[in-house]
Amino acid sequence: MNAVLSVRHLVKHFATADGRTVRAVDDVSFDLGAGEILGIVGESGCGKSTLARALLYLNPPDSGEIRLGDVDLAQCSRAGLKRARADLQMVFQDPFGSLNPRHTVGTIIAEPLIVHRRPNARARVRELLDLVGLPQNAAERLPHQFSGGQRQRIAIARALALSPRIIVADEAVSALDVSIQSQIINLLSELRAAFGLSMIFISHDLSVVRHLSDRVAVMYLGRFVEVAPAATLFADPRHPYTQALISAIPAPPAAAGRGIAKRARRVLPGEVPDPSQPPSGCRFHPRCFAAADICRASSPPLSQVGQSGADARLAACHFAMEGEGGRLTPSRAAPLAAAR
Amino acid sequence: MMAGEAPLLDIQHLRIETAVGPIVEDVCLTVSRGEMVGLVGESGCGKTLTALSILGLLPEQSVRIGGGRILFKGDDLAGCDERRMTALRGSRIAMIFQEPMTSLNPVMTVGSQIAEVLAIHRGQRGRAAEARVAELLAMVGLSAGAQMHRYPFQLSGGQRQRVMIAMALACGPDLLIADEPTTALDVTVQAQILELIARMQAELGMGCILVTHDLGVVAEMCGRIAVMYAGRIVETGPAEALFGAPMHRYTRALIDTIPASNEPGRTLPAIPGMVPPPGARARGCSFFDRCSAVTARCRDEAPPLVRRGDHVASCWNPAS
Repeated sequence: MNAVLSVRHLVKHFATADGRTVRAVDDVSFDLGAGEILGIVGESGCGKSTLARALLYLNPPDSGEIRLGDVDLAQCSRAGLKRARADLQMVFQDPFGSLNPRHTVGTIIAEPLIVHRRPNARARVRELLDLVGLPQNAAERLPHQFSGGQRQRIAIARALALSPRIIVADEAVSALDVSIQSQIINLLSELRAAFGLSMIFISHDLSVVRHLSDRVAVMYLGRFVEVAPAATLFADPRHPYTQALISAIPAPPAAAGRGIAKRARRVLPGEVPDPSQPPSGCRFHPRCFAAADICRASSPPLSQVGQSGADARLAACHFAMEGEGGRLTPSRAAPLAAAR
Repeated sequence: MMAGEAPLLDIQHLRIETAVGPIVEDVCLTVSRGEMVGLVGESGCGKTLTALSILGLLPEQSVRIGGGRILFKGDDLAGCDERRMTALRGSRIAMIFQEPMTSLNPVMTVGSQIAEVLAIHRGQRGRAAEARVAELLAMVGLSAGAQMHRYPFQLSGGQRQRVMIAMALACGPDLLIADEPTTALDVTVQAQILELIARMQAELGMGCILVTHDLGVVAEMCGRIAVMYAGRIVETGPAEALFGAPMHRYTRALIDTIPASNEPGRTLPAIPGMVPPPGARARGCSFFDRCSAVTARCRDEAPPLVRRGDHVASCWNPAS
């Protein structure tokens, strides 16, 4: 794969006030291909936002390597990092908090152009407004005069201003209403198609991630536990956590219309443990329906399951290879008592 | 519902007024004992205000009930005085809110917050109250000994929502209103909490209104569903009929637009434009300017009710 972004052994820990260490991102590696959308899913506290901020060096990582093309971000000077960021832009979740309320939309979108001394900022702003489907007169107005969906369009226009190669979108559609969400999802896919943008699309919403992503990484307590092409991951998840996540999504409403009501779902016991005190062995074992002794003792590495190549899939589970379709069933391993 | 028995809750032509005009109009909704009704819609559609009006909790002086009746066991709550409302609220009608962190008192232990409900409504104190608190905590899946003396900040989001549910159920209410009870929670925890609400509802035989923006959640939880748009209920019916053959164009568009209804990677059939703010709504159907099947009369003439058994929509050009 021709990687535009290559991440190796990325680690970002935080110290808590009482002297413990939160291992927010703990040894994450992946490549992002040109024009690829990599979805990252996980529940709150899994480290997905910390990962996003570390990628842009907004929170510099503790260790590990981030290569943007040929540039190693760790080796960059301040000026070098600024140049690199022109290629790596971010869209945040909250379109209220991420836009300066006192600046006009025109100023907001032009800011990266001015910071990076790009010519013809005004013309570029007009072009960007068109691109994201906002009227030209939006440039003179203030963020509060726009709805949530329009504000997210403004944030996307700003992220596109420097024609980056990569957009990191952190829960970019999560705060939006259903009817507006689909407009923004469509916009992101159109932009990808038009400019060959690569994207890291972070969300807790699996159905949105499935729709938009080529490949999906599932994150749990600071680590990737499964990485696979989107269709494969949803059709045949190998990690028990992925299986539980997928089964927890309510069925599409049309299923209720066909009389397929209330399917059996795999409800995980307990909640995500404190990331400053991750469980021994496999970090998922206390909530796993298929955990065995080995899971408590040793942490399974993220390793290849099945074929290699562009469609290679990775899972961090001792039993990822097992059984028909590799699917774990609770009957084959004694379920642990519900931990609460 | 038995033939002839009045519904537990019967909202008739409810209208909620604000300074900029009506924000909820002509809302009719019934809930029977043992029934879970879903109230769905996007932000600003009036679903939360409708829910709050049942409990007499409309936010300010400027937002008030401007007409209609809210009959709870035959009594009209719309004109009810605060003293009577206080007696019902938390006792006969209980509510679970979206954000358990801000709805719980941060400086009271979980146990004493639940005990407070018992003291106020039942005069239960001391040993008896403590035993009941333990029972309630166990019922919602928390360990009484460990959790009773903890403060909300010491609990996770899911545990806090369990505490909210325990408080709501403390007096064995007849009607439970759950407003986006799982929206702030992670998917795996959402699954736990939905299961808990469904189990409690079935065990206690309460009537229940589930207010949410999530179509998947109502489809799974509710037997009957009402869809709100711009302050009105535009369609109501049994889940199977409403999702299988939606009549209102908004319901149809909403189902079609979500990623789960579409092939991955395809362009989503988006709904253009946005919800009109109160005060800028059309005289006819407020959805007219976003509708793919708009007719000449949609904007100015109030749409007729289209009935198919207990499946009803107000639309000039129904989708089915």
